Amino acid sequence: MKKRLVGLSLAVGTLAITAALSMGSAQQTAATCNIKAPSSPTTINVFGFRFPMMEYYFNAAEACSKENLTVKSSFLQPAQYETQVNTALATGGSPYQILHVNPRLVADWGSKGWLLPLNSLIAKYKRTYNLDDISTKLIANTTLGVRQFAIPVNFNTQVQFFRKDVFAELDLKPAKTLDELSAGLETLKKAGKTKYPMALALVGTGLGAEFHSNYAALGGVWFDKNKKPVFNNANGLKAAQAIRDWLEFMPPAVLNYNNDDVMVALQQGDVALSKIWITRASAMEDEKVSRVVGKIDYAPAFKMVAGGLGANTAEGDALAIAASSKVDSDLAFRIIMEMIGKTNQLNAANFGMVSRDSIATNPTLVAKNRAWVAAASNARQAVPLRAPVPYQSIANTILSNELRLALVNKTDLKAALDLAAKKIEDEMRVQGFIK
Amino acid sequence: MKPREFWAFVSPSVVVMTVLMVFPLFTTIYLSFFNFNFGVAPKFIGFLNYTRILEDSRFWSAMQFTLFYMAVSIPIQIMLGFGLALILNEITALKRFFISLYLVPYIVTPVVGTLAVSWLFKDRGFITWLLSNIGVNIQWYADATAARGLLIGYGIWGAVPFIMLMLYAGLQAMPADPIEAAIMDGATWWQRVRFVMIPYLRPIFIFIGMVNIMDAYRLFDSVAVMTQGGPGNATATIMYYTYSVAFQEQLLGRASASIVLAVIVIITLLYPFLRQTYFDIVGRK
Repeated sequence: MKKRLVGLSLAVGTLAITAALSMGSAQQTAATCNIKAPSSPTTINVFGFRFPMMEYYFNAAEACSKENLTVKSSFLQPAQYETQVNTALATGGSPYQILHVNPRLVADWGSKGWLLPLNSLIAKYKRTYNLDDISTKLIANTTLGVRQFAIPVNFNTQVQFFRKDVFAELDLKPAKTLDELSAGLETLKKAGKTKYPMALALVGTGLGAEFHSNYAALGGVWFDKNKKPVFNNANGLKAAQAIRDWLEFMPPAVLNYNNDDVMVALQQGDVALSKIWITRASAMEDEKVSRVVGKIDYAPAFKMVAGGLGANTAEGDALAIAASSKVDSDLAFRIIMEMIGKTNQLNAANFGMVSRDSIATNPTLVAKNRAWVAAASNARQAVPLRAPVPYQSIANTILSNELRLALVNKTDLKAALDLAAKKIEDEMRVQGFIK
Repeated sequence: MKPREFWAFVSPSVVVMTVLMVFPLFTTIYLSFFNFNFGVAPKFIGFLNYTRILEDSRFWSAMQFTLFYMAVSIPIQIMLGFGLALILNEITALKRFFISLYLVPYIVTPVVGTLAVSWLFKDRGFITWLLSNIGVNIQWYADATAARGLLIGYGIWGAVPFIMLMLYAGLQAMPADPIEAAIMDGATWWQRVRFVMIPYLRPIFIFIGMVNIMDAYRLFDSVAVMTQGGPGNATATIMYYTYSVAFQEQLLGRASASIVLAVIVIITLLYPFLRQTYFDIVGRK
């Protein structure tokens, strides 16, 4: 027993060191930044939430530090990041200049005037930095009306990660529909090859996001034309019921799992299947921290009904500039441009699918990155993103809360959806979105 | 002391208290009557925020757990702290070593300590693994009772050193005469503790009680780091609930109402202690 304890302690220590080393590797491969330093001392703060590709980009930003220019980057977990940036932006004097955003945050912060519209800067530097190479679909996700608020850095979507060895042994194929998934989960559970068949990131508003993927794949929309919440219908119930059914096949604490927890569960061989962002694929092949190197394969997300859309979104992360930042926005923009320069994006492609079409569709790279094929299929079958309206975050938070309570307390899902719809409507009325 | 001298001495602290405590408190009360959130102009809505909070089952669930946490953890913290203080008071060898050892939880930065402990109890955590080896499989973050127990246990671990230190200092300062007299009268060890030490330490117990009630009432960091209020709302405390309303739902006016209600509850809870302290100082009329 004592020997096992000592062995485990050593293993834990080794894992921690290797994890730190693997993080450091992103820094070592960062390209040189060719930006000209300003004449007076300037500090640019870059802020975001952590995953391997974003670490690489942030290290590339820090490589711009020279002479009078200091670029500092920092990360938080997504929920804490949002809280901190919300507070900072609301005060009107953001200490962060470059911000990591996604379509939901662009809708929220952009509509409040907290993000700087980049149209004039894009026009100015379009040729210099070959911005026509950035995927137009991704640009659409960072645009409200005619104002583009952010520069896409990657393409991200939730594909199925599955253990090809386990699937082959059980003669399973990755699910194409909800019914196939249900059958596959039963088989995986009976076989007991892994501790649990599946894991999903359902912590916080992740539950609302999963609901959206299911619900939108069934053709559902959150609000009608009068802004009334309408997700408490038969399709909403089916979407929620699917999540309840999956809980039986997932770790008991899965409602508390974030993307890191799911990634670790896959890496450590605890689960045979997940639907998670493709930015996590490179971590599966990192032999310093993964026990499943070469054992994971990728498939597009399943569809809720045959012939319908996939239960996945197609979006991406992007970089924006805080409108209230006192630092020269031209300089901040050029740092973003350096971060997503072609050389940097070629390196970043080691961690996922980047935003430049010339790299994302490069046949050599596609052949090297198995997850990209599934991601490209996902892009074609993706459900629409949640509407970029300012009250969407209210809906997402309330629905996630009510759904979580119903799942934990095993209460009626329809009642939970009805209650969520009523609460959202009440709240929208209080906030002045409806009368 | 002349009134002029008195005010000269107390005015700096009055100014600081006004700026840092009274002003924010009154601002919070004021904002609680507004629909106020990030980036939107405040709009007066009367008592609507209070109505919404009082109608919200999550508020009551959070209040319930907060009071439960206090009721369970504080007596255990005080008993353990007093027990350790008595042991320290008795032993002579390795006293410094044990004091240093007991102080470890107190000197670890709360969030760092909480993170480290939360990892120990995760699905792949060391403690979870150790327990599973002897056939005990506990889902610390999926089971409401286990999650509550974990938070209470962690709270006890973190609070006991302070209590021990305070009571040990009190025991060290205790005059030897009453103890010696009790020994001469044939009092047992327990009788000395029960009838001599505890009454002597009464003001310290009251102080510790007050501080620990306030600490337990504003429990936030371990909930935010370990359980995020889950599973469901089982471990959400009143402070975590307020934080969620303010920063996740971005309803600052409503969170202000929540905190005003929380202040009313804590004043009610502390009233007996404050009253007792007042009488101890000025005497009963």
